[in-house]
Amino acid sequence: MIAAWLAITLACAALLSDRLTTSGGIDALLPTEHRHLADEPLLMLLPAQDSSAQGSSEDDPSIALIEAAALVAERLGDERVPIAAPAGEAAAWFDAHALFLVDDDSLAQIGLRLTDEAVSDAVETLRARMSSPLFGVAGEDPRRDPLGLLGPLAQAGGRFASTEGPGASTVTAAGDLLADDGNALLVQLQTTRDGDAVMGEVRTAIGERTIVAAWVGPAHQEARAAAMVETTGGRLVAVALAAISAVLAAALRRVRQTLSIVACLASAVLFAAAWLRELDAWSLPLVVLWLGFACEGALHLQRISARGWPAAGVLATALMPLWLSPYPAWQRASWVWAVLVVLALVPLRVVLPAVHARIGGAVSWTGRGFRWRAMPMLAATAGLVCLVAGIVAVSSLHYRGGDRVALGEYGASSAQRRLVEDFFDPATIVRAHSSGADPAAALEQAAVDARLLAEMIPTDAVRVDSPGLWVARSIELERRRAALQALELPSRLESMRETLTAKGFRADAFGEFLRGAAGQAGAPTAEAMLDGPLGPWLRRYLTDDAPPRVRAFVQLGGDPDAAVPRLEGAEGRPLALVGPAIAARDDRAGFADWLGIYALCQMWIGALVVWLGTRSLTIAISAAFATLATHCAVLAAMAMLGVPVGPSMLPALLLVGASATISAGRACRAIDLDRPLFATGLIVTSLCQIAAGAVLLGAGVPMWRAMGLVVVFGATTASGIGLFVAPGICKVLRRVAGVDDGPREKGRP
Amino acid sequence: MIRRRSALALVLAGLAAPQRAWGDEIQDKRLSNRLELWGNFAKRTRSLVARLTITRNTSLLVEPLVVTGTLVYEPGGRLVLRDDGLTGSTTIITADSLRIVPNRAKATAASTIDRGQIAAAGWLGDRLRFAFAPGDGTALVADSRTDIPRGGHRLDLLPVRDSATRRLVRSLSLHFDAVTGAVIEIVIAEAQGDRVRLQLADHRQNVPDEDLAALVADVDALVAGPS
Repeated sequence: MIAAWLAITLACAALLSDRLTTSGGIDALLPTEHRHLADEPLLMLLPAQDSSAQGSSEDDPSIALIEAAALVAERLGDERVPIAAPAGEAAAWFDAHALFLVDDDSLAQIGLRLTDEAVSDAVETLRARMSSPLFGVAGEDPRRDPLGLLGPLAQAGGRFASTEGPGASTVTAAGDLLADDGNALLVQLQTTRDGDAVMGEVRTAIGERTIVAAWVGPAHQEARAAAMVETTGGRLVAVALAAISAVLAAALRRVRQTLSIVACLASAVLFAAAWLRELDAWSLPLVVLWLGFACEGALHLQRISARGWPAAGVLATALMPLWLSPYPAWQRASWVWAVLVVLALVPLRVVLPAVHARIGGAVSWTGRGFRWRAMPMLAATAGLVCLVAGIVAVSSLHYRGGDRVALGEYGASSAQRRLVEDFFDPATIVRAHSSGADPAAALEQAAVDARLLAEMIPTDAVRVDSPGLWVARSIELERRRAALQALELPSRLESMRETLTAKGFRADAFGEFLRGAAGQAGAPTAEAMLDGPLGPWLRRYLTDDAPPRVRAFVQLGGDPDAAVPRLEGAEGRPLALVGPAIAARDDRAGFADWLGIYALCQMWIGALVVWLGTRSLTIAISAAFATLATHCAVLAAMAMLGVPVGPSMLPALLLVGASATISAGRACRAIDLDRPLFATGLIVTSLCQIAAGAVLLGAGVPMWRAMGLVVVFGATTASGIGLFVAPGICKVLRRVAGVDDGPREKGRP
Repeated sequence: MIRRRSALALVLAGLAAPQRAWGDEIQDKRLSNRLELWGNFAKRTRSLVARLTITRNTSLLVEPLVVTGTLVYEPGGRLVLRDDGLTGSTTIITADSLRIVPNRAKATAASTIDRGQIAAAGWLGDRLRFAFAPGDGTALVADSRTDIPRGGHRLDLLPVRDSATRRLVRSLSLHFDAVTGAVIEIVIAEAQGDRVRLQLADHRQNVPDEDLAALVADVDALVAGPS
């Protein structure tokens, strides 16, 4: 037996180096359709720290960044796409089609401003204002808009937001985003290649320039999370094993006993690593917790049933409720955890006794136990307090969605900070899709949908970035053509030219405006956009799906607690938004209900297992009550400590619930059998769980800290509730039901 | 050969370092001299009234725009540039706001420039205001790089090189009277190519309050808009 175990362990160790990979898994709690666009990494270019010392005082960092971006674009070819429409092309498109794209009210305002009197007045005012030394910095663009016609359009609810980019930045001529202070430039890529390979090419393109390139956004977070798992994974497991060893050594005070248990646990780690193949930021903490929860299998405590399988059953099925959840990582964890428990219990229950038989040091609880008795009053009071505290706390808990992965110092970088501060927070960007029989039809549908999306501004959304906003809806084209004809544009523009000349202006200097206004005969149709200079920019929005789809990007408001906007198009057709923020907001809306469902599922499964092991309904119900009381106590503690609740802490909550079920089953069973209860063993079990939780708590990663805290507090509470509450509740139930105090059979301790 | 080149580079680097430090020292000294000259006049200023000629060279106009007017600096720190005649405008610069109001304006034509949104406006407004305000010059040259040409009595202020201001304003040059230190000319070079020259004459410092009030009375009425 021992030889076979050693052989399997060595084989797993040999396999491990080739098979175990790490990934970030920052999207692992999000449904697939809501995940970040993996093929759209964001690249930020920044001046090197020492560039200011090297460059002359006349050097403008923005110029160096724009030049570097041009080199990157040249090197990467189609892999680099404009994040916003190139400034020149965008301005030309709007100048040529503005009168088609504005709403009816704005067009009426423009009509009023084009009368002879209004034009004369506007030109005189312009001349008067030009004498001010502040005229050039007043934010006016007289060459493009001498009459201030576009002024009201800019205020028209973000219709032209796409020309300004998603944040407080400016769009470069190439369609990249330049930070307001000119010290950072954001480049959008569209590639499925490995990030390191692309970055290598970027650095080659930049060459010796004092420019730094860095990934930002979700791709950066994913890479940092993967690096975090790789660097901390082995250390965390080793620290967890060391902490468990310390607990066992302190409690058992036997070297051989402690070493053999730790050796079995270590071999289980190797089995698990060989089987899992991949670790991410969510599975690593589960492995650490698994070590803490599984080692109780080695302690041979008071058993719930004669054969002692219910505790293993409760532990293995602890995460089963998560199979119902919408979180892919936890759905997988629901059965992976069961396999992990089996992988741990096999060496602990099969190999460990064999080791003890050979080298001695088996755990013996003889003489350590004490007679325990039920305390109905204390149980009822404590149980009630826990339930009330939990119910009250639920409403005050702060929700943290699966879209917000807090990596702490591992995810922090100056480039990432600049992305959020100077450009936009990628976590707030969501998508909508419009489809059609061909790209032109899809774009036309996008024009309809984009107006619908724009209605979300400013209550639900900050900006809408859709090429559809740049295209006139076909149903309105004829109506708008008629309205423009009524404006008599050619004669009014001629009159304006004469007025400008009469007032001493050089009419040709306003050619940009005059040409644009005169060219309004060409309508901004989908075909015109696809065939025009904006076509390359559209690549990012058009997907290769069948049928073709056009994407729109929507920046939601900053309030993560806001409800998901429900949009309904013509004929009641829903317009669905997808993205991490939408998944989180959807989840938040039903999280409290689902938390209850997961808890009920766990109570039911746990009670069933306990009932199958004891054939006592009152013990099963008491164990379920202990689980519920533990959940409530943990939620109350989280509310008091300000720890956010969310999908990330569900496994920890369910694990401490399982711990309470096991603890309650053991205590009730010990009283029923009139056997001594091994307090030391129960404490050691809890301490091992607490040790695992403490390892996560001290890992320095915020996303793991909440899990660790829940386990540390929950494991402590679970033992207490199992010991003090469950037997009392069991006794109360039996009194109420009029049954005796259970079978005083002679079972195995 | 390589050794000789290395040695030569070291010698040149050794020579360049003190040269640079010496250059900085000269610039600092010149700046100190200019601010001292400017301070001779500015430190006595509580209020100021001067005749003003503004010339804007711009590609928008066939001929340069030339207007005359009055510059008024009030004790509270408000700077008013008031064009003569109804075809001009009035520029009002305070610590909090920047406004251009056409003299013949309807209320809707008045515009307030958002300092927060257009950093260049805030920078230029502050430099113009501090050019006439009493002080040691620290506020005048704040947020700016300075350049002091060898000839003339001039101080050039340039936006710091990584600021958004540079995208709209290239420089602001102050010319001082060689004797009194009064600002006699301001030239603003805009990034898009326009050049604005403000020529000042007939400086009257610390005019009586009642005269000042009379000068700015119609400005207040203009700002308030037509009733």
